[in-house]
Amino acid sequence: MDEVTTVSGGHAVRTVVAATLGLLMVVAPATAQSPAKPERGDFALALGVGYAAAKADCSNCSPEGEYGSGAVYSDVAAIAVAPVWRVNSRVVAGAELQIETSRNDARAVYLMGIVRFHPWAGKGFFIRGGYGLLQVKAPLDLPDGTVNTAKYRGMALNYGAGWMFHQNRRFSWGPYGAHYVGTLGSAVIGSFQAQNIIGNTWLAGFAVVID
Amino acid sequence: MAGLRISGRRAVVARAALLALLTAPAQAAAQSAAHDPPPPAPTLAAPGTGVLLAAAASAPKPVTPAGEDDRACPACPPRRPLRAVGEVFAINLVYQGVNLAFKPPEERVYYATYPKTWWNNVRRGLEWDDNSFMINQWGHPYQGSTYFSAGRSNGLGFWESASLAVLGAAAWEYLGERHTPSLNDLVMTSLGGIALGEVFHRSASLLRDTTDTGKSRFWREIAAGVIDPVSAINRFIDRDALRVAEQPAAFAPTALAASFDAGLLWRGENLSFLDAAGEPFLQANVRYGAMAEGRSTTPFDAFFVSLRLGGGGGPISEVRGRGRLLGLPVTGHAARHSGHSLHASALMGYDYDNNSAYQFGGQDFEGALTHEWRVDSRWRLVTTASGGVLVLGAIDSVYDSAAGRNYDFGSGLSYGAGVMLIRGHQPFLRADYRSFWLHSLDGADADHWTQNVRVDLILPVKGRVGLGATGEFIRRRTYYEQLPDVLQRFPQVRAYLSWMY
Repeated sequence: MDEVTTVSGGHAVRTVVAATLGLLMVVAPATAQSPAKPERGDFALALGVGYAAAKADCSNCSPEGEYGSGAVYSDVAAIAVAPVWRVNSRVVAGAELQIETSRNDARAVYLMGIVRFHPWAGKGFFIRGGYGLLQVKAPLDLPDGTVNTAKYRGMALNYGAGWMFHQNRRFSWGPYGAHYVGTLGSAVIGSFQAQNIIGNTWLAGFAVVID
Repeated sequence: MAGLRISGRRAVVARAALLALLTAPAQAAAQSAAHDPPPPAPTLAAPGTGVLLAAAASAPKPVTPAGEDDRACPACPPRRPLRAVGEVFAINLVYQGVNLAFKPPEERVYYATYPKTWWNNVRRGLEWDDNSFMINQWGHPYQGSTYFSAGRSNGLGFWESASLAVLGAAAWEYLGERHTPSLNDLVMTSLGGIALGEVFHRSASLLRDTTDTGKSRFWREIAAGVIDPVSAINRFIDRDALRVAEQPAAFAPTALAASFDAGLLWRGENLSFLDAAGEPFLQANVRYGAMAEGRSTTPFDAFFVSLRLGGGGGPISEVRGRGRLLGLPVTGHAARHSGHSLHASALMGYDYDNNSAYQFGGQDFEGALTHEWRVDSRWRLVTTASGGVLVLGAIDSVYDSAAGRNYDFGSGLSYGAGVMLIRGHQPFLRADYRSFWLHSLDGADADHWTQNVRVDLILPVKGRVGLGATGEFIRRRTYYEQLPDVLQRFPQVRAYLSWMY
């Protein structure tokens, strides 16, 4: 089958669980903190870990033709760090560096500008979006049966939603989900030219925000 | 056959659901009417203009104090976040219903959706689509503007409504059709919808006069409804279109200048005008607020937009818009009668060109520095430099695109500079340079670089009427990975009569 898939797998889950437990230990004393009055320009650092399902496809990678969905999802672990600044009582904006890795050394690095928006000030629910750059280094199964590792860069965006507990305190935390989309243009990988590569990553994560 | 029967039944279910939801707003209006005080009896019913006009002609009501019904001001809509979200989904059902009703039979199946098709869409994730340039670059942004307007017309702020544009776009892509969700649609519908939506919302507000009554009030509401239909529907359902109150201060621009041009456009190719024929065009240019004055965190409290109809190519051949997101004075005071000032701003932009020579569309975020020299109380010289990120753009492919379209998608940079000599409130002489660099992410493996230089001269003739001439030069260079590079040059001249407001 003429199919290019990223080779990846699963220690990911163990990594995520360990990182989550570590983060929970860090934030455990947070319940003792009193709410801080947020002010414009306040800095905060957000840390996140997550499990993701990711796949990459291209317009000539599948025998069914244009994005024939021949690609399959694989397990990925992700960690993220995001310095952010408060714009107003409901909006924070900043940058996010997210690194994703799979068992077989497929790696993606996202560097994005992000915005987090709380529709209801003081409530935990938020939606988020981001736009920026992506670099992927992944071993690929080529149609001729060989495996070739390639590195390529492109544009990425993400959108998602989540919930923060203990918002506006020294430490806040909560779950979030996001969809990361990376588009890499065309790339020559070994003897194969993959056209219009696009990757989709669905992430379930847990974040801690240090205000 | 079985497959046809299944999809047919689902189409019927979808239509029934659509009808149920479409009637919901009317029921809600009826319910809210039960709680509202009864409207005063019409005093003037002009023949042939119907019940709405008759009601609009009613006597002025006393001005309602701010805060009633959770309104930000007496003429502002009440704040109803849940209804706004509901309207976003209702708008999608309308689009879906229109597609189910009017698309050719073989295409209707793509709009008969149900949970399994939703899940299929989620599993497939996003990809690039192959819709026409106009659908992707104008149709989707317009669609997004209706979601955005659902928020604004239900009392939500700019950023809240922006999130509704994203929600509506995502809901349409995942739930509204069976086509694999499209990355370009999601971005264009969201960002284009935000930019166009706020421009439409504020422009429509300019046309309304909430202190007026009678026929003139009715026709103003209708005219505003052409620009911003979702707001108009909400206003008529809620009877806000009849409500007499002070004009909303938040929508009163600090300055306003508009011009409407009609004339002929000649577009040459490769420096030659030999084959150029004069194409008639109409153009509207609006400058809302003062882009380079004051400290501002109110998005689009200042913007400019131009819309050209005709001139060769598509029915809408050019749209340019830049709205201010943030404004910050750096030095000086622009409101003084003389002297220098420097102003920094963050802008959100939308561009659409669809003419006989080339196609380009894109949405960007830019930073701009503007220097203003007030020579005297009448003349000003404004110099601007800007640059930023082209979030997503599309440009026609010189060679056949690899993506089954005749244009490429990509991201890149946008930058420009301009000088404008202003007499009173209207530009007298203007020179602009604008450039986009677009790295193709879907389509031909290429980098596209467009540059555009333009000089406008507008001579006042009598009163508000002026005579304008514009010379423009468009240079486009495309660097292909595996094909010969291409250089195209399009000179363009316009001559027109201008009516200035």
